[in-house]
Amino acid sequence: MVNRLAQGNNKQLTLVEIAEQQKQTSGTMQSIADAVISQAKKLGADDAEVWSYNTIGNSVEVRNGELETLEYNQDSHLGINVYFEQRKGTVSINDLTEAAALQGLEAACNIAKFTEPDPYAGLVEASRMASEFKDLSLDHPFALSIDDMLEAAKLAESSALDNTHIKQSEGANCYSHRSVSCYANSHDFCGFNKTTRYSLSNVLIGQTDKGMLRDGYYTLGREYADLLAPNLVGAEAANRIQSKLIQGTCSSGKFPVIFNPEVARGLWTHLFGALKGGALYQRSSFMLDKLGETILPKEITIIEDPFILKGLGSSNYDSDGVATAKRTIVEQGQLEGYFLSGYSARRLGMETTGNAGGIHNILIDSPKQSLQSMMKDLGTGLLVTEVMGQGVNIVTGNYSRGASGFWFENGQIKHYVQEITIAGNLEDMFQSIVALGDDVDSRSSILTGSVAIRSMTIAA
Amino acid sequence: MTSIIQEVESHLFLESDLSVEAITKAVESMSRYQLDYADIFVQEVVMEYWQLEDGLVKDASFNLNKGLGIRSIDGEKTGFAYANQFEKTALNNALTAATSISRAGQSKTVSFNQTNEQRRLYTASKTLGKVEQSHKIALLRQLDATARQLDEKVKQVIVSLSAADEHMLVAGIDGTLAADIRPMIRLNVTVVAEHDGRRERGSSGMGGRYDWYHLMSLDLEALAKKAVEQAVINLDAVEAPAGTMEVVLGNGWPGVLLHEAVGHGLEGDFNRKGSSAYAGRIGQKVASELCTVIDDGTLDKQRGSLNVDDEGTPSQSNVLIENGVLKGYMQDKHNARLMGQAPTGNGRRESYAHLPMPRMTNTLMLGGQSDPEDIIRSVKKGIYAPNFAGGQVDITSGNFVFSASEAYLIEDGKLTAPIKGATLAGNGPEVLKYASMVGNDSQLDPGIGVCGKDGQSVPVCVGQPTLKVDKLTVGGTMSS
Repeated sequence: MVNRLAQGNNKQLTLVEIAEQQKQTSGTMQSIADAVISQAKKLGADDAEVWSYNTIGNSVEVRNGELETLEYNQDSHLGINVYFEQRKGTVSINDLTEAAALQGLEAACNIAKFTEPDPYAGLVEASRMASEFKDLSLDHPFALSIDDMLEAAKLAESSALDNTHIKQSEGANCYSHRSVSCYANSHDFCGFNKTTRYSLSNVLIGQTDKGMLRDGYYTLGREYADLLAPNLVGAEAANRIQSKLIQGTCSSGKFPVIFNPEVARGLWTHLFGALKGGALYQRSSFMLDKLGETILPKEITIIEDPFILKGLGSSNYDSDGVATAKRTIVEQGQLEGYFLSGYSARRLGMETTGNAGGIHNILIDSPKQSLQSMMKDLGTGLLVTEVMGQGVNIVTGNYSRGASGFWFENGQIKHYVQEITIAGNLEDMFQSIVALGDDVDSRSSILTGSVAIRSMTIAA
Repeated sequence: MTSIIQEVESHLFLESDLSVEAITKAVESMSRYQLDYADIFVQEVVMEYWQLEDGLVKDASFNLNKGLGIRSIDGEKTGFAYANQFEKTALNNALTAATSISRAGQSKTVSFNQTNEQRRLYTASKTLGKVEQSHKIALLRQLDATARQLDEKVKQVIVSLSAADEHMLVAGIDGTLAADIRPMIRLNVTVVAEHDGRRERGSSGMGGRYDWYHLMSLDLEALAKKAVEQAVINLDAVEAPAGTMEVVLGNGWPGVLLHEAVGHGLEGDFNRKGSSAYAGRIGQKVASELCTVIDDGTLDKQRGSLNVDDEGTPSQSNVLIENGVLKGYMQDKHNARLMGQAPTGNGRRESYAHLPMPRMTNTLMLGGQSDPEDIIRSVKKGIYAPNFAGGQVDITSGNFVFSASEAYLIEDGKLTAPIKGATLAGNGPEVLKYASMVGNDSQLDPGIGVCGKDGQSVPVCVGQPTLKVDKLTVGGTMSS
């Protein structure tokens, strides 16, 4: 009867009430998984796996002090893979009922009659399944009412509008969600993740003689009490606009470029994307055959840690059910490991690294310095605060993107520049990182501060 | 002949206690709240996907998504809830949650009118019909073989086929009652070519609101050929120049320029809130007089076409820019009402679980007078970019970028070396003022566009003729 439960029969439940409701949802998920797996076996499947999730939450958007949107979110998903002699069939539906799941299973089995045998297909061996489930402190239901959320959003917005440089608000948003997810397979593995997520954000518009500009700030966490106070979110959003009001230009040429933490995160994502099994076995990566080679300056060590308490990328097992582990990806500049799932590992003749479904928390271990001292050391260059467009070629490492940010001279910010491009090659860019900032941003699973690169081509 | 509403009703509610009557009754029940608007959107999307990699069709999936979304609007306030069950209880629960922004009053009668004639811009039959699985597999294998035969440098080929059938029904408190059956097919070829230690990827795709049989009547070999050519050409690509220069954009898909530089900025919501660089500029000159840009949701079989939009408004052809002058915005019902304008058939949503917004359909620039070859001949030093990976815009500042995936240097009026992919950057309300030559070869893209806005994706088309822009920033690595 999970469908009734998932509907939410009253309006605006808090996460405490939602968590209560989802107790039964997780029971239903497990019994659906059991039913599907045993039925799959009856239908002759060698193996089967089932994943499901149920996310429920509220979202409020405020603009100019008034409620603009109130959303009650409830999303469910169920996926099934079946394997018949290395042939795979996949089905996904948005219905968490046993009847729908068994219908889905039939469709999956039907598909597996037609797909071609893949020697690499199948579950990861049973010995690799997670058996230890640490409490990673990811689940913090809190009785936050719609009124509380409205008040937080209104306060963030009004604090921002106190700043006289702001032309108008684009809206302040507050959301709270709780998810239950389940992964089970025919090795008798069944794991659950229960997580909460809260966020408060504010977007503003500023006016300069050259036109309008938009910026904002957000806070995000597993526990509501960990969020930045609403007035500080608003104030930071306003500061960001204010700092950009003095606009200027810069010249084209080769200059040092610092990526601020928000855009540096994207830069690391390109590197990790190139280290993923799928990109490697498809030979679509600029990091091909680089294991053991020096890909970063020797001061930099990169650790993947799936066990950070309250971490946005924390998990005891990956989406193959494989136990995750803390490990070193880059040791003093040298590439030590890839991000592999069971499937991509088999394709590469390697062992899974517990990264089916993605990368966990990333820590960048290196000497760090303040942004000020980074700019001082570099003298003249660009501090990028925003990048735009799809100009990243993961096969060649070719990098060319729209950018905006602050032009600095003699270590001091001069003015804000926009409508420019920055270009280089990712392989060279990573080799020529000259400094890492201590301004580490915790609002992501990639915990990075600013990243300074010796030279990129700027076109203005 | 059964109406489309009956057809959709019998499909959606076959094993359910819901009916069109139950939906319209529920809409009527919302009239007791002090609302400016309310609607219920019911949707089912069935998708099938086949993928070939390493010469094997080893991945195939089937996906079913269905649900209903209820929205209530009071002034600028919107309440929204949805459910993934076609059941009266689910409907009522979502209704209670969605109307919580407003106080209840007297109930009124709503008379529902199925105003829209049964427009059929696309076939309403199943996209893949009764096509045997073996035929789909054969198609993927054939394209794999074609790509590999074209050039020995091709080392990896990925071919994918996806087909989706959407049934939608919408009922609004203004008496709107509409339904649509929307097919969507998409075929893609991606190759990796290797030579002398260099690797490059090439990709091409095609699709639209048509079925398998129509797809089979098209030139599919050309698709494999385009992907291979792109990868192989890029193996020889030299560094791209950096700086501001003349740029010639090819016809078809490079119309992504219009989508980013013009289209998003003319969506009603941004203009109502005054957050678009185009806000309050109707009647002003925003492009050279050579430019006329339209958004047309009525084109036959195109990816962005709709018989009715997701609010039940029939799609139409809207002039955005006429001879360089800004003419109008694209509207959904909510923003149209708040701005005192008429809806334009641009109210779209990713699914029942998302709120509608003003969105583009098929956005294109009409053809001009110039011969495309003359356009290239007119450039002393610049670049020619016939293919793009996509684009992005900040509608507030108007700054946009789009990223070339295939481009060439133009030197003294001739195409010379291929250059590495570079991002082109400009400012929306400024860039088309520098459009100095418009080709006579306007064309739509092959049916590959996906537009993202506020986390919602919808299929779109773009198109344009060969176009010369005198001033764009080219983001290469070669500083001059």
